Amino acid sequence: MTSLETWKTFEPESYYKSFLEKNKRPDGRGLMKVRPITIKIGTVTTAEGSSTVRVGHTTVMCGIKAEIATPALRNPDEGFIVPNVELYPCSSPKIKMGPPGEKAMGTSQFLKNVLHSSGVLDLKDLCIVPNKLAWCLYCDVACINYDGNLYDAALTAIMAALQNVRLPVVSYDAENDKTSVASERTLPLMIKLMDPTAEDESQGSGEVVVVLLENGSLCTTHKPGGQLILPNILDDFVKLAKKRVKVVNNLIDRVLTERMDTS
Amino acid sequence: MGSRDTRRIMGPEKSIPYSLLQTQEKSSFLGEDSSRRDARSAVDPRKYFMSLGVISQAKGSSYLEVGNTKVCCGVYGPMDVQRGSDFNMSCKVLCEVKMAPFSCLVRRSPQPDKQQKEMSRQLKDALETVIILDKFPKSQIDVYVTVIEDDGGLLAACITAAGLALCHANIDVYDLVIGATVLWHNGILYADPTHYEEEYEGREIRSSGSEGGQLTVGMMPKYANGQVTLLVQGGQVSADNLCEGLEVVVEICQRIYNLSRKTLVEYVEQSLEENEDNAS
Amino acid sequence: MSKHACELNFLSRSDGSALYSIGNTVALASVNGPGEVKKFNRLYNRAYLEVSYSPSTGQSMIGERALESVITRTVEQVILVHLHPRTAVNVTIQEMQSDGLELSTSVNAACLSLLDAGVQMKSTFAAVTCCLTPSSTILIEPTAAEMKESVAVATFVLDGQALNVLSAHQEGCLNAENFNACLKACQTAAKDVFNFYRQALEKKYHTCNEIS
Repeated sequence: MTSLETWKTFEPESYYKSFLEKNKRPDGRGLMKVRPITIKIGTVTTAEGSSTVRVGHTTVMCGIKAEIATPALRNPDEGFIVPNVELYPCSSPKIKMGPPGEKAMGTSQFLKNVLHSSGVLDLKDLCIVPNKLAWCLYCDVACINYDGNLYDAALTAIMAALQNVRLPVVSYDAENDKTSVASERTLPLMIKLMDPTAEDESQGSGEVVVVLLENGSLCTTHKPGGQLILPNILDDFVKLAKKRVKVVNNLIDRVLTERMDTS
Repeated sequence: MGSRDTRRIMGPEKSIPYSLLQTQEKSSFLGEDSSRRDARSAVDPRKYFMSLGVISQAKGSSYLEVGNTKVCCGVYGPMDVQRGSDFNMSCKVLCEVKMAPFSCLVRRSPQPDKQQKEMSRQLKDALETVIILDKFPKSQIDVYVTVIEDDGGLLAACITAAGLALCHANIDVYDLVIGATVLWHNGILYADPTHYEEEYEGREIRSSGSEGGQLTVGMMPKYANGQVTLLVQGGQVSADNLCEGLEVVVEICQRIYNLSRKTLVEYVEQSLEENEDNAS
Repeated sequence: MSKHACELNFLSRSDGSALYSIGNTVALASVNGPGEVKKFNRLYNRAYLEVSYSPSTGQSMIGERALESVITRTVEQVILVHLHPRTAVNVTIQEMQSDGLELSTSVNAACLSLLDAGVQMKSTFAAVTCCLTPSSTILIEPTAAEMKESVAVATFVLDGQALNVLSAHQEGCLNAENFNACLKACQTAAKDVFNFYRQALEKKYHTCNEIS
């Protein structure tokens, strides 16, 4: 063990403070600097839509499986979208085997909140025959390497995967009550407002997640406890997030067009 | 599903995979020109891709692609045994295979099922003979495998990935462990079957009771002239055929072994170079 | 603003408890601790905080668990955990009746029950929920029906000293301008909530004096 590692293990607070005094973080980047992000889509052939996103070391994969269900009685003309996050024990030594922990559950609920309140996808588009058939999209996000900033990575992965989804045409014969599904997956989903992106700053004791839509309106803010912050700092976060939305959107667009060209 | 899962977001109560509604064509085991569907010869394994150090948080990690089968393995330890277990002079190995919900053609529930538990146990059996357990008394090694996509030969892929990750984690082993699978169909041997071939053969055995089956082997190709650490066979195969199959599997293991070794050596060379660059 | 009501020391056997209602949403919080802690939760330098939330009907699902973790991480910052190492503080919240304001009611109930139990805190805290109607007016403490009609719902937890944001939670879309307007409105409303806290506690200690 080098002396630096010993310092980190025994005096973590003074270790981090020494970096913060110089406005740097232990991995060498500035306080407001984000890690590089890479996006790949169509990485899993068994899923109807999929993506792999890396933010620094954090790696998540999102696979979307489509199934057919009967619409709920309350909303007979709407489909379902079910996001879930799985933090696998291989992703970090802190994660234990067994049912999902607090972090995974919190992120799942956050994704559900974002998907529903941002209106990226009109659930009515997922309906095939009102009261009879609707698509149910299971969006499972699997975290393979957990190195912080799960919100951002998971949300980017889900948005990229949604845009990769291709569904087969479903025809419904009302007389015989028969349903047939075409063998080719051709239909893309209509993603309306594209790509909300989360900006999440975790600095030891507090974290803030701001989700913005492309047109700049705030879609979800999530600050679960943590240190007290002044309202004007919130504004700063929003400004930071706005810059990031552009970067991520451009990246997803580029990946999508590249894929169009190859196929 | 027995009880409702309170820790995940639940979908509608009932949903069915759309593939059930698609009209099923009459399929055959082989493709049109009576070669395999992916145009391989009968004894050729699929393309392999291996990489090491994909999980920054783990002591050792590996990523393996065999055709479309993709698995990722992380190794943690050796570390203290969890409190409550008895004193033990040798090392405890903990294995868990997790399949992502989107890894199969039909979505699987994220809750652990029989197949995953069974595979975890088999993997544990294979690894316990590979790791030099006496080197790590009072400790525990965790091996976690995540399956990203299943396209046949899953257990074999898990074993190979775990072997690579153990080496990457600097854990003492007798030899690099390699997994390989063969399948009999109509008396002919096929190496490294895909998911389609596995499913087809499984259906046929159930319906007609003809001879056919599958053999997965985990082995250490170089240790004491090749030692088998795990052998799982399904279906019905005559003893003669089984011996013949074993020979083929051993040969495939040897090929994969060479490839894995190359990957490991390249990784070491690369990290040495990086160290030199950093030093200079 | 909806009507706030509160009864302190509602439960006789817990260290502190509060029955709190905002409009038609009612929550009962009880606090035990700092006290005995389970071995695997024991922290050497601070107290361990455990919040459990149970809904009025049915099992606790993922939504309730997410709510639990928001409350835990809010309360954790306020109470002086470092004063009681190797102990646990348990906060149990039971939803009695729901009309959309579960988060703010349970946070306020938690604060008053902590005060009732005499757990040392940096400051008091209060949660205020507001929603933005389609005609862009801001409603403070809406009912469930009003929330359903609205564009966005935001909840802020503010501290009692400078009205800084302890925790924020928002559903639905807001632009930056509306967001700030919501925050301002909630800060104003929070002052009334803190006044209400003061009244509730004065009432409690007033009766104490009479007995002695």
